[in-house]
Amino acid sequence: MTETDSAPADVLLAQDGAADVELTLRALRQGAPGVRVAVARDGAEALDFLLARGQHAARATLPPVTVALVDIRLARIDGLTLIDRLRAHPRTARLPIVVLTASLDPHDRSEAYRVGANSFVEMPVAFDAFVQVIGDVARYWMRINRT
Amino acid sequence: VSIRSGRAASARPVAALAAFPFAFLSPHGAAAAAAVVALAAAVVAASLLFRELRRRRGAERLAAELGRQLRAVSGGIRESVVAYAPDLRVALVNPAFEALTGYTPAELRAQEFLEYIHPDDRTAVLAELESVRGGNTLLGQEYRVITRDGRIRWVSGTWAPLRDERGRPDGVLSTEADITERRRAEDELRHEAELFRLIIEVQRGAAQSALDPEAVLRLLVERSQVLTRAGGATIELIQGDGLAPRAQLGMALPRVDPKTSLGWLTARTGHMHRCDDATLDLRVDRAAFLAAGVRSLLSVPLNWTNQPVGALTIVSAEPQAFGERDARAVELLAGMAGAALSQATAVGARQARLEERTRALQDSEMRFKQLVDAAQEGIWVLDDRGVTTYVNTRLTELLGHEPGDMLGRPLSDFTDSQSRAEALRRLARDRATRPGMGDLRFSRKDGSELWAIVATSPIVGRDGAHVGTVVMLTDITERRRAEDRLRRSADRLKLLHEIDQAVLAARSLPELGRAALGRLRRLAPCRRCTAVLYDFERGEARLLAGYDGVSELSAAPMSLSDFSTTDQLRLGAVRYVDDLARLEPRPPLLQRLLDEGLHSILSVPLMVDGEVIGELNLAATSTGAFEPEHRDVAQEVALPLAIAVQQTRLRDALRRDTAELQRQLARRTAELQETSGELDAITGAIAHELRAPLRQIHSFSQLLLDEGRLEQTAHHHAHRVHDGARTLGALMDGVLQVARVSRQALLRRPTPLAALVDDARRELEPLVDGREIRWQIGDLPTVDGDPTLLGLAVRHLLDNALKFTAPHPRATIRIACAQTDGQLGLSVADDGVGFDGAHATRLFQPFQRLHRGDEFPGLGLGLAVVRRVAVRHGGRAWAESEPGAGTTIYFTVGATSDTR
Repeated sequence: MTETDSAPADVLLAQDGAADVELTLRALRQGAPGVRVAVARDGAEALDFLLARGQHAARATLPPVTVALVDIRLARIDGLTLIDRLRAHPRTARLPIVVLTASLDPHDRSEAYRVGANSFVEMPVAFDAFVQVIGDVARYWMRINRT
Repeated sequence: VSIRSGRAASARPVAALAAFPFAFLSPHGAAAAAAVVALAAAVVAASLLFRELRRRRGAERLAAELGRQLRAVSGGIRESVVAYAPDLRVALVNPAFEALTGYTPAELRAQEFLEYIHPDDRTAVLAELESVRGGNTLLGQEYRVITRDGRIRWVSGTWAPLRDERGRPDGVLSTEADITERRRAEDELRHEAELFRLIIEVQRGAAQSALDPEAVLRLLVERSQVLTRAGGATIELIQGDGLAPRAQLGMALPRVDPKTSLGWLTARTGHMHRCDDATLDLRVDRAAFLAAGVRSLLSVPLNWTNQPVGALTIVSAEPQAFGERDARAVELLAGMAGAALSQATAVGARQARLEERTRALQDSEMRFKQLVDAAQEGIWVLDDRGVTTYVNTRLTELLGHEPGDMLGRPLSDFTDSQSRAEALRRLARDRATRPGMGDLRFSRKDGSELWAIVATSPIVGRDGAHVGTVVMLTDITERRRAEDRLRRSADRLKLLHEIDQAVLAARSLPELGRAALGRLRRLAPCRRCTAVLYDFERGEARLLAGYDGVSELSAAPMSLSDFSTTDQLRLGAVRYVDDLARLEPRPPLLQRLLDEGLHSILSVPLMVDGEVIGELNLAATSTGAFEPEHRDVAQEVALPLAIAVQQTRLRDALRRDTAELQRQLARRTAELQETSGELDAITGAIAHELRAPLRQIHSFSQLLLDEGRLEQTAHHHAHRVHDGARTLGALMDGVLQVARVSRQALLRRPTPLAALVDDARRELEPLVDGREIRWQIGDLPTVDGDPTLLGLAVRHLLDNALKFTAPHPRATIRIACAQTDGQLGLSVADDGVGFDGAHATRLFQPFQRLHRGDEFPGLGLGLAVVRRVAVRHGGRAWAESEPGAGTTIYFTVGATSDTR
């Protein structure tokens, strides 16, 4: 698990708000121990990270992440736009993307699938439930990718 | 024959004899007569010769010569000749005598004089003998001769005197010709004549008793018996398999087996049967014949139309009683019997037919009379000249004439003058030839009209000639009147309909007025007609529409006071002036009309809901131009026109109001949409934006509690924070749910409630929490609704029931179909804690709770959701409960077909 630009990562978490990021990281640690997580704090940074450009240009030599967890509410570039752009790029066209949201808005879900998200997770209010859900998601995509 | 020409003078009597009219006799008789003539001639010749010999020779020679000559002559002829000496000794007998009588001359000489002649006839010959001896000749005396073998022969004898030289009588010469055959033929003839006489008699009798076959049969047996001198006569007719005696006279028939009787044989075969002697005849039952005393029997068939129908049988106590003659007689009579029977039967049948026809005719006549008199039609019989010969009661009622007034007069006297020519023409054409029909107008006696359908049919006589006409009148006056009324009514209805149509089509008041007036003018005779609307407030009248002959009138406002007083106008009365010139005082308007040459005026008010809004005016140049019918028509037009005017006015007002309403509606809608958008935003915010911070509060407080490093008070506080966050989350979910239920589009489809109940039960299983719940689930309907929302409602209902039975370890939850006021749904009844029914309505409002949260956890949103779901489906939800007695909650989804 590293947040530095040079370290290889299994998962990119794109999420706004320190509290949420902390909660998600804790949940991932508990639910999917051993998974290396990189964090992007807004949509623009997530895009640079995944496409290995700008401040993340150095990552071009690193292997791509196995899965991206994208909160639908992101600053600068919102989550849906981010997915749209990623799908348009050859490097990330087939990258597994899981949408995270605190909202229960069904509109978000259908939009996420429309732009090309692979999965959609409503983050439960209760933490232990969140641990369960996020662990399942991470483990699932790690395993899919490994096989 | 040559002798005959010897001395013509002496032959005179012979010529006289020859002239005797024998013609009536049979040819046989005529031949006999000729023989007699020839004999007579020979006798005369012999006597002349005898005289001559006597004169010239001696008596001895003379006698010998005479004998020789006479013998020579007499021996050559067929007639018997006997010459008697003056002492009546037999002097000469010729061979023909022996041939006739069988007596030799010696035997004759040994007999008494004339012994060979039948005693009954002898006297007659003897009586004449002196006259013959005196010189007269007895010619053609017929008498019977009894032959030597006892037979009887009839002869015609001629007795002539023999004279000596001096002409004195000297002996007698008799010649006898056998006329037995002639006599028999004569007898036959006589008998036949008698037979025919009898038959004519029988026929006459039969004709007289023609209607009584028995009488004919009686006559026949009587005649049969008389004619044949039979002992008895019987007529038997075939009946079934035997013969039944029908008439009998004298001796009865032998009683024999009917099947073997000669009568039966005769009747069956159609051939005559005869028994000449019962004692010798093997065919007959001798004992029966003897018992009946019958020796002879003759039976002939009775035929009828060539079929044997019986037998006529005669019997006699004598053997061989019936000869051919008798057979012939009874055959003839039997033929008569058949004919008589047939005739009697035919006559009887004819009589029966005649009687039947007479009866039928009488019946028919009676029925005809009844029919004719009871008929609803007037019936009129005319003879071949068209003159009335019969009228039935109905016709006199129809025309109001007495029958006496009508008989002898032609039909055309009673027709309406206009119809007369036509009627006459038609009747003249039709009555003699064929049935005709048509409408005719008659004049009743009181002058009123009678419309009738007239049907004529010729009466044809037996010879095909036209003998009269039956005319039937059906009164259609009422029908014609009704038709007229109907036609006028239909015209008016059509007019009204057109006005209604025009009114509907009219887009403005003037157009409306023109439409109405244009059609009114077609029904009422007017030169000028107007529709005027009053404006009482302004005291004005405005022309809605108007026609003045061909031109339209101007629409300048008029003063109401020109019409009449305001009070008068408000009354809404029909005003009718049949002559304006005689109306005093005349309002200015009417004066103007009069000045324009109009005399009749009819005004009917335009009224709506009892309010007068104007009037319809009709004016005509003639006086008294308007009749009540025109008033009715005008009123009928006025009514829809007034309504249409009012409606048009209302419609205009409504159009104005509607436009305003639509503007308001648009504004309100816009406002509402704005509000709704804000609500959406708020709801969205609550649902989504607030969830993220809530998550953080909830999760971090949990982490605080989980890590367990807080001192007691801090732990307690963290706990409170955590609880609060959890409650807030639940509240937010609830609010979101209520909002979603309210706003989400309904996706209706047939939804089986039973399946939803099953799903909810599975989902809520954890809440049972080890308790014993008895589910009683009835037959639940399938309803038309949104399965997601309905499922939500069902889950809340079951959740509710589980929750409020929670204090009881054992509970019963009954789920049943609910149907009320055409609405379908279900009810959920629990035996839980219940509540005060007075608060039942509060239960369904959001956040309304009837129990403390620590008693029964909940947000007070479940039943609000249930109610919203029901309302969204057009149904409703309500509760019935009592504290401690459980609760029943009803949930329906509006009018929907049960598609279970």
